[in-house]
Amino acid sequence: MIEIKDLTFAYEEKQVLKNISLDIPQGQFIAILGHNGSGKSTLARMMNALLVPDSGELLVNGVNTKDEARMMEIRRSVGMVFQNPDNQIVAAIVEEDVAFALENLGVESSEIRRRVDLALEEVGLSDYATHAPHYLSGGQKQRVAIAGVIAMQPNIIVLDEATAMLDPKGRRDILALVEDMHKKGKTIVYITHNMSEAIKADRVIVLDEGELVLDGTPREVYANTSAIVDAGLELPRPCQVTTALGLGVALDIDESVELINASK
Amino acid sequence: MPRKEAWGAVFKDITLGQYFPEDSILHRLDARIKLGICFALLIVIFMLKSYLQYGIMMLAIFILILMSKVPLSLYLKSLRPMVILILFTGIINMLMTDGQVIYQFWVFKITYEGVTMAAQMLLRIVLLVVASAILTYTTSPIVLTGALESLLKPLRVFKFPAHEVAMMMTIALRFIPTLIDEADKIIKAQTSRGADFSTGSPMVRAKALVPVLIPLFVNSFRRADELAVAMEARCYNGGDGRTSLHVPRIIARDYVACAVCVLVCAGVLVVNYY
Repeated sequence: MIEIKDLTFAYEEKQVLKNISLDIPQGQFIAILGHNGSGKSTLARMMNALLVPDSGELLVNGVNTKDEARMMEIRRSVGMVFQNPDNQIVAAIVEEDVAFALENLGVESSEIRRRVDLALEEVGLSDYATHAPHYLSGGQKQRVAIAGVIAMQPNIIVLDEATAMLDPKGRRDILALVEDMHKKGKTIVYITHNMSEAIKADRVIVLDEGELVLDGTPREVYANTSAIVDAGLELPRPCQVTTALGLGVALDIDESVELINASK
Repeated sequence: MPRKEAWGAVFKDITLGQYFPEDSILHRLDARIKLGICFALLIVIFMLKSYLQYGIMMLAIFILILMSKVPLSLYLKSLRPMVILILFTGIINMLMTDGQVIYQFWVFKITYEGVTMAAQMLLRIVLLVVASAILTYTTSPIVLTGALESLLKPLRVFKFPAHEVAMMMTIALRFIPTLIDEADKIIKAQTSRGADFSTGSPMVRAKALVPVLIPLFVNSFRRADELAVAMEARCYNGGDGRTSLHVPRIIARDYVACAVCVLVCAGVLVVNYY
């Protein structure tokens, strides 16, 4: 559970986040949408105490991120996956990288072994346990990063543009994995600028120039065509077609076909 | 044009250590024990005096080579960079040592002592190189880094940053292939835009590499920054209180290897007194 109260943050002069208030209940799959520089990545880093608010609060499971003594507690309950698969893998062997967070937390060796094996199985990379990461594809590397997060057993997983550098196949694999983790009860914070990746989310919020401009289910949010264009985002193609035809929001191609057929 | 590929190949040729994966007794030995044995052998090699001692040591090293299941040609290859050094020290030793003259021309004197000295120096260098090659051929750099960390740990009493050094080596090993790939991409991108890396004097070619190295350098800072954030996000907090996925255990064969090593070393050192 994440509670954000009146959060503001500035890098030097530039105001990056302005008066954000947001509650994310446990188990929710929330997508944070915004164009480059909208402040979405900064907000993600706030959730892991990598950054702390200038004013306002951010509470993770009731713990304030400003409480430095409890920083590790926050970081072990919020797993982060970043954009560049190459720059977040620390070890030169897949299983050692998955174990990295657990080693840092001082978990006992046999327990690390158990959790690493489980996590690799969950992301479907058990066969690659002893491989070197640089022989893996981008999608596979990202799954290694997710396995590292799963092994930590956090209840919140934040993905910061985790699919931005992947090919379509890698992207689909990661999205499937995210849905799977959501079904297992994890809170998912999915940060992206690609609106078609957010259709499976329970809830979508849109950030524009550091302000929270839209908040609702994908269907509700995607209906605000003009606000979305103002925020520098682009509706998924099927949705563009149906809204242009005045038929309302279609989240995927099948739905748009149905709407168009029904209108005949 | 094969020459165009040349610079890419230069980067590709930087091998990660020289690990040769095989399934031999030496490969399975605990890396810390191997490091210890290698160190002991190096010290003993420095203490060798008589040809008998050299003979025993050469036999011991030869047995180790056979046990490592690594092809002999690879060991010869590891000696190749040393050829100039061996020749140079050999000639210097032959000419500069005083003693019983066996051949003389102009101001140069080759002495009996000089030849002995040169021969011993040659054997010594060969033995040193091969002994350390046995270690690096049979131990992956990652395992070796782990072993170094645990062996250096006691030095933390003297504020030696054992964990930090090992972490730096791990990250370096992890990123070398990534940076090689990146260098390759930059070279290809610039070649496609007409950059020439393969003609001209060495000076001209070195200059042509500058536009490759600068983006590589800048990018590695960006990578370092992102990696640091990712490590922090994954609860990295320095070496204190860290545990490890693999806890290397010293088992019977490691003790046996130690015992054999001690016997051989002691034997080699003692044999001169009989």
